[in-house]
Amino acid sequence: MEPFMMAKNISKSFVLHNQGGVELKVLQGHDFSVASGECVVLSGSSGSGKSSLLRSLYGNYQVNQGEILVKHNDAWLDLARAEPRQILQLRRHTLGWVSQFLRVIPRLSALDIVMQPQLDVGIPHQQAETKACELLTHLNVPEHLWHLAPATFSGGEQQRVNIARGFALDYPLLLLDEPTASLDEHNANQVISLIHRAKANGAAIVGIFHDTWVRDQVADRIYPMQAAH
Amino acid sequence: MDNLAYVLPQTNPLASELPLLQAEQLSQWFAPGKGFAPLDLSLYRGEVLAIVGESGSGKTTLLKALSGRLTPQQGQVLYRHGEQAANLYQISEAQRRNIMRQDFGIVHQHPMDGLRPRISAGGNIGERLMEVGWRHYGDIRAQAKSWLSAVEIDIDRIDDLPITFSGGMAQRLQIARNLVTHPKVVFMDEPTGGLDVSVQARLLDLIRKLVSELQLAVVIVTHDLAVARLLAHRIMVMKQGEVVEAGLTDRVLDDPQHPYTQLLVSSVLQQ
Repeated sequence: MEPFMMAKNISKSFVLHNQGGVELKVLQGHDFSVASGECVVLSGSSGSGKSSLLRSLYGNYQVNQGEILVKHNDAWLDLARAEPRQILQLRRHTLGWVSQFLRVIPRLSALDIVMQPQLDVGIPHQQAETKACELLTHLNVPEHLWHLAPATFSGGEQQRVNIARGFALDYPLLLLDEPTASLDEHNANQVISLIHRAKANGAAIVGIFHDTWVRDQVADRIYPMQAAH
Repeated sequence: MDNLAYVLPQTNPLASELPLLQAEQLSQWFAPGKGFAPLDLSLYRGEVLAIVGESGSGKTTLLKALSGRLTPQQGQVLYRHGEQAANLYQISEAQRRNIMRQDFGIVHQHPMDGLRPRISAGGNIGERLMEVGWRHYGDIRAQAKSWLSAVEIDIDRIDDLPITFSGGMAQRLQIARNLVTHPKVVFMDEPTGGLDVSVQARLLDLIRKLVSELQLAVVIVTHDLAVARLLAHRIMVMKQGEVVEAGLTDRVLDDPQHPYTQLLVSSVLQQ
């Protein structure tokens, strides 16, 4: 199947200049691809570089070597070398991300947070709100919380707002960093159904899932990882 | 599968768009560690650029040179409006004033530096409109009211003097005064600097909202990395007058490459 994203021979290390210049190798020579409608799960023990790989695929970490090609407007964009505003444009339309934690913006309500990515690409307010309400309902975020800023929500509630935000647009490529980590089984199942729906819509998905039972339900393929050295 | 990369053209869909503001080899170097060394910079419509670094790193001097308020020793600043590109320091004083009045906004750290203390709040907003040709008193007052509420100031305060306002409120008034003429580029120097944390959050949220709704291009000078993360698309890190690192905000803050950026990021208390 034709890949939607290809990482070719990517390596990444951190140089800690203020701690004696220690160099930590986190990724070494990874070749990786994901196709539309496919979910690839990164698997490996703690410290094997799963999160670093995922962050590199988002352009959040700068790889030292290799190419990260993503299909964008019928062309390949190399995330490892793209201009910041190309990456931002890619993230706005093509590349979605659900992190483990919600970065709360002061005073912004849960509903606004979920609506924001839709408004940013010009979806009308009413339509964005309908979609946001549907997702928050699906993820069992109590309605009386929708108009409140999530700073005081529980970890699981914040996480579900975060997931709703990540799924509010049908991104062709979606990166999931342990989206079910702080959720109970029922809510984890709700997330699994969102992933299935996104796949059916043709999304390419790369994810990290701590729970084996979740992984088994969503993964088409496992990408095994080992610590670089 | 390897060949696929060559089947599709490797084009840049944004290449056709030109930057609104562009600095080329711009420099103002008073003495080592004073001012800033030659740098290039581009700012596009709807983009927020944060300039971070400690006091004395040349941030404020750079902001002045970019905004037409300080003739640089070297280099140029291009401002594109319509089909034209004006070289800010080669056009006439009158032309530069005109651009600054019509297309630029400047938000100072201390609100009173950007406000007239002895003119009412409404007058502070209205004055900017009169400068660009508004004459009808009713229209000006209506516009002033609408901007007061946009920056969350009770419209009953329209006839009060800014010196009777709290710091946060005065700062919001300064922002209204700047935005009422719909500038294309807004320059902000530590806009949340002297404010209480709770007031800061409100102001930041307001700025974030206005920037995105009005598609403003913003250059914001700050030493607060949290402010940069919240507002900026891109970040430029300065140390002793030199740009040591620049790029996508979350990349620079989460994966800093330069020793100085690493030090800055690691010095922030974890929340």
